[in-house]
Amino acid sequence: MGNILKLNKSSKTTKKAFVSTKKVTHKARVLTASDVQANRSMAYTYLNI
Amino acid sequence: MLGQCFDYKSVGKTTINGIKTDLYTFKCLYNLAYILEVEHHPDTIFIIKFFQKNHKDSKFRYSLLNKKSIRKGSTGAKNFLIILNTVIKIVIEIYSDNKSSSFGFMGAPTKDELNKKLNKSNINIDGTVSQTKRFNTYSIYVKRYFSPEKFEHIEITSSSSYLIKSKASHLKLKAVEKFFQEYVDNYC
Repeated sequence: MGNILKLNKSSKTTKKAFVSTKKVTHKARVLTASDVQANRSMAYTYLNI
Repeated sequence: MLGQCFDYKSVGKTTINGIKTDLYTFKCLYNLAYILEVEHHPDTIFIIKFFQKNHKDSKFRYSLLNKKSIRKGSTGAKNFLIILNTVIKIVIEIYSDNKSSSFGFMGAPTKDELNKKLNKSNINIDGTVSQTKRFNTYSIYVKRYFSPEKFEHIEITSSSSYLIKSKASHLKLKAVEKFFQEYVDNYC
């Protein structure tokens, strides 16, 4: 199957408000199981995958 | 169990900014075509991005929202939910092939969230935007479906990034931070 799409391959898309060379340290946090549970509705079931 | 999904099809592979990317398309309730990109990164990290096909030439393609006239008076919530279900269905397909796959996204800011006059407190000096609406929405959505028994949920709220990391992956937290740092520096 061929690639029927011609996408804009520019390197910068706007996921930032502006392009800057300044650095920010972005800290990652692992959510605990209870964090995940607390932020979800019990109406949904986890995927069986 | 996922709800309703749109029919999607794979439309090939491409390389964007040196990143191998799989492409999928589907049509939403308003008959608008969407393009979903699945970027392949080292350590079996897949970054998921999608946008409306008619926005493909805009640098704001990940940020744009549907106008009211397109939504025909509705909130668009149902349509949006089915779009997310469709994205997750594709994610499941990829995960089924490799159970150590991890899936990441960045919640792109809306145009209002990019506006310093409207959202100064959430715009960082590197241009990233913290806790965007999309980040908040997507992060609630993925918690519905991805069990913490099989996946680690990793949030980087300051850059609106999220990784659903397979527990079969050996990636450490520092490596995840480094990955997203480089992603912000190189691709955003």
